[in-house]
Amino acid sequence: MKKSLHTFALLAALPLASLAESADPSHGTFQVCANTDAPVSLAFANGLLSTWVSANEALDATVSKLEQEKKGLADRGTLLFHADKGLLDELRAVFEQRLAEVELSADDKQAAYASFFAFLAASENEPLAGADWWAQTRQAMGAVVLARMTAFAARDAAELRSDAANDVAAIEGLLDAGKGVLVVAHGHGNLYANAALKQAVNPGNEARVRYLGAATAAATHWPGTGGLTYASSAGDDVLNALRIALILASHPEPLPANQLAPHPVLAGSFTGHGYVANYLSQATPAGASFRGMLSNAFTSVKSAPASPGALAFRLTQTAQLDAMAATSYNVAWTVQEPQEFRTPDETVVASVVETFDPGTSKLTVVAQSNCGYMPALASGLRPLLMQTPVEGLPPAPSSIMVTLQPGNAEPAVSWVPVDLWPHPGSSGRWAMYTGMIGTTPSHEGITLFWSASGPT
Amino acid sequence: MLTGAEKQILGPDVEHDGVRDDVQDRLAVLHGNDAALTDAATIFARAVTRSAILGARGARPTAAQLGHLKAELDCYWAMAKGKGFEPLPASRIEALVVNDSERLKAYLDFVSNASGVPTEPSADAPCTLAQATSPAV
Repeated sequence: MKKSLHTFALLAALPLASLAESADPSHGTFQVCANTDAPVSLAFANGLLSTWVSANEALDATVSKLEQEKKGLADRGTLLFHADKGLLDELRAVFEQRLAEVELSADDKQAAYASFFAFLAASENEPLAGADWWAQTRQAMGAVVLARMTAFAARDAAELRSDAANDVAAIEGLLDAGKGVLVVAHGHGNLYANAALKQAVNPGNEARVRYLGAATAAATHWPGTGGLTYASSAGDDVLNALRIALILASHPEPLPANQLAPHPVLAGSFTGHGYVANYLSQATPAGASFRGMLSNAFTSVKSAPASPGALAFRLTQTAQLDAMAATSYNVAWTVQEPQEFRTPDETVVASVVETFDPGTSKLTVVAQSNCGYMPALASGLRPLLMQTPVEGLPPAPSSIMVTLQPGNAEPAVSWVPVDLWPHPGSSGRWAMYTGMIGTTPSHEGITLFWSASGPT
Repeated sequence: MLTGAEKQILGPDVEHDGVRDDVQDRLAVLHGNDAALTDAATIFARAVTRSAILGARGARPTAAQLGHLKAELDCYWAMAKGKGFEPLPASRIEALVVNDSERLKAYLDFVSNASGVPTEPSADAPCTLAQATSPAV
């Protein structure tokens, strides 16, 4: 016997007055309905051999490059910083041991420290310390770096996901503020960026995210939305050494080099790996290519459909099977999130009012959108069905159907099957299913119905 | 008040502005004795010094402290760019301050524990080289 379950209606009345026409000019130039010129923020994930200061320099150099093109960033960028304290400690130990083995004048000692910090910053400046002594010291530190890089690139996905938690929060914060986000990563920063993007990006916000890697140490890349997602130079000695080390260790090797032009001999450029010195340089083919990719990625995300930031609208339905009737769910609804959706300039673009009638178990949601935000609004309307499985009672619905219907009593225009997937928060005896609704901004007075049906 | 070990990390500072005297002298030379540029570079050097002292205490950077460090680095960049001067790599200034084993360990301990997004400091905090009896730590 097929169990018949309640059908609930979500009524969404949608007067689609354009905010673009009625917006108060004092709110600035952000065009709510224009779907172009979205504010875009840059997020930079540094490579393994970085200090906090040098990582900020790399971020600033990237911001400056985009500003030179008058790209119009929303802010000064966000650093997705990761330090490997163990690596820094090892390098410090090697450096100090080597330093103790030689007698240096005060000036030479100062030069040695300058060289050490330049090494930590992967800035590839001319060696400042005595050439022979520094060359040997640098070689010894390079071996430490390679060993650490190899071990790091072989870490498992769960560990990376955990370490990327701050990055996920930072990216989600930018997206929730209504910004487009361009994530740029260098070297091992690509491992974190991949892990973070897989967690922070969803079908509702992915149009506002682009990802670009330089000298990527990752074997795969979060796909982004078209176009090349990375630049790795065939003349990148660090990447080449890492590739060999990973192959020998039977680990997945980094994505292949796709910048094949000969690496020029630049003054002070030793490895071809430095982010600013090589990949952001105007003097290298890889740099020219990466700079072009950076510009294109920015333009692409800039023109992505805008959407208000706080569209984390969720309805949580706690569905507990009625043991007596065994044919229906008793449903309690709560609205967990703010019920006004605002753009970054605080313009309210949508509001939601919900009522629940316990007598009829009918939930009515009236969502008012002020302009063409219906796609975003609809993607924010994720009916979450939480079921408490009770022994002996039917399992959770196997599907949810959604229909979009004009409010003028015309027949339903479509039935949209909704994909179900376990929510990451599901655990134990609780099952949570999320359905995504898609629609278009052209509907006026849309009625959303959804129903759940269980297996026989 | 700084402990004895922290005073060692700070070093000789006759002007009590939180930066070692020889660092200031060297920064002046490196910036052609341009007073404004030297001050901007000194502000960043003071931030590096402060970070090393905090590192010697075993402190992990707070978002506010990172915000100050970043803002003070930004001050130098902005001043240099405004004057058409190619700023020194930050690593050069870090190395001027952090030039012995204790300072190196303390500074790396501090910055390698940085994480999260720095807090924007209030407008009046960075970009001024005010006289002080001790570093603002």
